[in-house]
Amino acid sequence: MICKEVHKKMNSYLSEKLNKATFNEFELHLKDCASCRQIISEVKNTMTLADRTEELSADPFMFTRIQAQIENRSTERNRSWQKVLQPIAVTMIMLVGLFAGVSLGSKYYNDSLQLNANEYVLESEDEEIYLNALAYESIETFLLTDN
Amino acid sequence: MTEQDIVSGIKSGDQKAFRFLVDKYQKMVLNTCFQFVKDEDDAKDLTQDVFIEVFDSIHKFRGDSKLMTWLYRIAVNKSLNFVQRNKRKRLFGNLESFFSSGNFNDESSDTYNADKPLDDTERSKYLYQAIESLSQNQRIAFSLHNLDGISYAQIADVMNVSVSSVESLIHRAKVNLQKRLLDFYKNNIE
Repeated sequence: MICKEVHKKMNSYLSEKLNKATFNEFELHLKDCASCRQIISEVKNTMTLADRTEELSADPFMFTRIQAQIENRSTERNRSWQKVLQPIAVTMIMLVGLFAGVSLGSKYYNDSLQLNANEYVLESEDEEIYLNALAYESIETFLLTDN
Repeated sequence: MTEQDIVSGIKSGDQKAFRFLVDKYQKMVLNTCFQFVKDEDDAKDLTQDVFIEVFDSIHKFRGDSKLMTWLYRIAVNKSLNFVQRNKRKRLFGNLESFFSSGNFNDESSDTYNADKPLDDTERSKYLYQAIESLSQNQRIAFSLHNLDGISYAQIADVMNVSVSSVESLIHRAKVNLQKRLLDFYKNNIE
């Protein structure tokens, strides 16, 4: 048997599915061929590891760690709410301030307009001339007169 | 404390019941996760996640299956998700190193040094790579079967399949592992 043939039959050899004659030939080849022998031995050794169970022991602080993580998570959750709520609250306060400012200002403006229109009544023609001097006497005429 | 006492205790916020659950099943969950991730620290982190998940979703547990089966399922799902995430991370890491240096830095395809005799740590690494390449069901059945004290019937309950399916999955997993290891060593020992 040559290496190529042996390679093809390795899986059957490891699964113990070779007939006696082929098995003997296979074994004979393994005696002479170091590399084929190494392949078979590495596969066997590695497969043995699959059956070996490595067991970890319990961690005495596991519960404390889990508890701390649950508590941290609820604090973080509150913080994340804070992060969302804070800008909303600030914007709301600013909008309320702006609205209050605008409504107060417009109220004062309307009041002052109402005061001018309703409460101030011209009492005489002299007063009207006095208040509207420019309309009655232009500045140029005023400067050209002697007295 | 019976299983029912533990469940109803946790549902009503009893810390003692939750502590009892963690103490009783911690080792089982830890070793289940370890079978899939093969790293002690990762297995411990996953165990924490499993119990937090139990704490959060105990109200969903209706008692149709055993509490232990439910724990196994959560542990298996969490571990498989972790392995999947890790694979993706490794892939992106390799792509990143390829684009930055022009070479793949693939840790998963370690090369075999034929001149140096192998030790069990290296063999375990190759074995783990071979296990990672199995189909998901074969992998779950094979990994759970390696746990101490778990029966085929329990594995069947966890996987929601028949006992004969579990036997067949484990058998096929072993055959495939052997084939993959043979291919690996044939390619590296010449």
